[in-house]
Amino acid sequence: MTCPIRRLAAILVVALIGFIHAGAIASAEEAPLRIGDVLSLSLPGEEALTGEFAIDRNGEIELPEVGPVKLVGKPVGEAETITRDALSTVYRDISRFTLRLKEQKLLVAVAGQVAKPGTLQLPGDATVEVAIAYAGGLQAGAQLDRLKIIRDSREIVFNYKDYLDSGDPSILPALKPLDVIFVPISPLTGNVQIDFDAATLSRAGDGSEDGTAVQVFGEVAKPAQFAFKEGMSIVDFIMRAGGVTRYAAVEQIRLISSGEPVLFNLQAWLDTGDPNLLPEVKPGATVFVPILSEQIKRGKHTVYVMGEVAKPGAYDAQPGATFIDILANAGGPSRFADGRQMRILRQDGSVLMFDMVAFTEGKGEGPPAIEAGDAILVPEKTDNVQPSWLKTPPERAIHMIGAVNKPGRYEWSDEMSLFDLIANAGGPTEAGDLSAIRILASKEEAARPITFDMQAFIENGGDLSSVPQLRAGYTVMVPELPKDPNDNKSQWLAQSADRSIYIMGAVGSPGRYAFNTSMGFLDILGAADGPTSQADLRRIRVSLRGEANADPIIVDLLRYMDTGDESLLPRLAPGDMIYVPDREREWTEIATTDTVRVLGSVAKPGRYSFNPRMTILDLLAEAGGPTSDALQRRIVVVNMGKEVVAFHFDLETFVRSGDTSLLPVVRPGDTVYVPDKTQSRRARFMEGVKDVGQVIGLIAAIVAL
Amino acid sequence: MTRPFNMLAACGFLALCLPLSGCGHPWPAAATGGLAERNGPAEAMHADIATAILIESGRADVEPARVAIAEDHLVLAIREHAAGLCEDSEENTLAASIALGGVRAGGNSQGEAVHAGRCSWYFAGEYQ
Repeated sequence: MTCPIRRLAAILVVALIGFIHAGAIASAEEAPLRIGDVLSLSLPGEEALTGEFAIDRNGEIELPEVGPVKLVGKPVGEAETITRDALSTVYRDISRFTLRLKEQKLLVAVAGQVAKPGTLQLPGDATVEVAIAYAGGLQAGAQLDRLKIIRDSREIVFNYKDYLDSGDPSILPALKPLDVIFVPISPLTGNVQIDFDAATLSRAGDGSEDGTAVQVFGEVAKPAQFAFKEGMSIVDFIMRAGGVTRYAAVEQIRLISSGEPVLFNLQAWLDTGDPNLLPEVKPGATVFVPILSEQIKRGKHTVYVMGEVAKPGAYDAQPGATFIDILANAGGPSRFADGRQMRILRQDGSVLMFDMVAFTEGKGEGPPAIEAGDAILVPEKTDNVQPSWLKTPPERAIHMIGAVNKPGRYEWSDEMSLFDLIANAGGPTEAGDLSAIRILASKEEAARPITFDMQAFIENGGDLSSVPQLRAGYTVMVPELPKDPNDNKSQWLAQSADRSIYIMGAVGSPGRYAFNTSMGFLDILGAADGPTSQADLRRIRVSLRGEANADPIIVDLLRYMDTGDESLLPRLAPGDMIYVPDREREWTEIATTDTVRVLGSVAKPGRYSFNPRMTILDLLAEAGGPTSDALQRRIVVVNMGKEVVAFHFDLETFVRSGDTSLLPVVRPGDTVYVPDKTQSRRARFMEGVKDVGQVIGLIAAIVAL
Repeated sequence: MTRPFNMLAACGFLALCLPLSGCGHPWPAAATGGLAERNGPAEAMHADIATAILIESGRADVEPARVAIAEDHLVLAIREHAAGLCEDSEENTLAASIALGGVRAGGNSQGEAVHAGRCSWYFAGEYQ
């Protein structure tokens, strides 16, 4: 480029710049003045009127000598004219007065959650952001989505958070002089001034109270309210809440949006990534993550382990997980597990058996493949898998048989006793007879029986040395009582003679009865249904078979009934026999010494039982009394005691006189004879006369011949 | 025939009838003693036993059957004594004493016997 051209270009650039500046100045000067604008006044020679003057809150500038001059809202030119006119009243020469706009300013106030609230003079084109910056910036806890500008008596609310998110300046309202920018505090900070912790606010969420916040609670790390934002998914909100805990039931997350609950399977979404699984979150929604224990776990790869394992439950078995993997995750089989009978239940209902013990021994087949939905059952050992009874050797075993709850073979220690053994065997059954425990003491090649009455020992006590000492190899049997005391016939083989007692004769149920020494005479009598109505209770005979050459005891049960004297009842022992005679027994069975014989003219002559306290009168009455032809004056009593002496008894005289001294002594064994009238002396004399007369007549007849 | 002969014949006839009639065989002696205990013991020994029975009856530790047995024996003993059945009476007296565990003779607070019985000489000794 040649020099003249360069010169011309420079001139044009300068002219252009000047033109632009002049245009800017011209446009600025055309804009109405605002509160805060700074005007530059100049009046040569007047120092007080040369300088910068700011338009105050009243829209005026304060001129010396003149006072306030209102210039707000006037263009600069007009403002100059107004000012000149005001000055002309005081000053004569103001031809050289100039007024121009030096700088546009913005007078605003910033209040609320900022560092330095107050009135600020900002550049004319300052925004809300600049104002907040001039005020020292926002304080923690500022509610960013609800900033407001108070202008006159109006409030303009705007979302500063949106501006911060997007950077869109149109979100921020234009500032005007005297605006008050108010930054509210979050409602989450409470009503009491505290040192606010931003982390706490973060944990509490940033939700506001306008009902649009989304609540997230349940099994999340930081349940809280969070501000709703378009485009945020349920997963975003869960992440805002710190994510789910390890106890969360991620397949059962609930979203309540617009009053409608929706189920969200987070696990399925994580497995598939299908966006259609994400429900729409609306403002004011609630997200609840339930705890896993309330749910039944079921997933795509769930395998169930049940039975005797350490940790039964549902396990998520990834593809490729083997039976052993799953069993190990479940803690393995417990010590009660039956490793030979493991089962795998398929979803189709089929059951596969697996012998793990054989597998571990290298003998059986390997475990089957596991599929999702399978159930592994590890059963418990059954009772037949007991320690073998052969493990207790004979030299350390004792045998417990008979009527005990758990008969069997028990390991024995000599420090134990018979009571320990019976207790360990569960004690006697209801039918067990402890009064005759039999012990077969085995020693070498011989065995001897021992009988022990444990019943009497328990009831009466005794010396502990009397309890048989047991040794290994012995056999202890607890016999059984008959089920029905009357049902001896069916039990007679089982009822041994040395534990029985016999009762016969006039009783309800004669027979053989189980007996022990704790029972008494009346017990046996009662067990046999008692004596019959024909029983002769005065002459019950008891044979003591256990005593050699013992005479039978005669028991007068009636005397016992009269006196209650227990000594009349014999002490019985097993093996004894009781005979209750019948009153109507064969007459030859009734001893002569037990009866009185009544002969002659009585209604019922015969043998009668007689009580020594009775008299002949009782006897005659029992015999039906003398007949009509009885010779009552000559009743003969033959006393057949040590001496045999006969006496006669005049019943007629006794009846007339009542003289008891006439009564004879009658005792069992005596005889009473009531003659008839032909036995009287007169009768016999006449009989003799008759006989003599017959003889004489016969002699006379012979002589006559 | 002379009158004396006739009378003699008649007497002989009667004498012949008497044996035939059994008049020569008298009835046994009259009995007695059937309720002799109503008159009280006739012998001191019986009285002692009766006293002992009363005493034993009032004791709480006595066997009532023994007392009743003793009483029975005592009644028989008194009756037999009154009837003259002395040996039997002695036997029953001993039995009554044994039933009571032995009765000391002379323990009768009534003193001498009320009556003299047929067997008085049997009880001359002392019964322990």
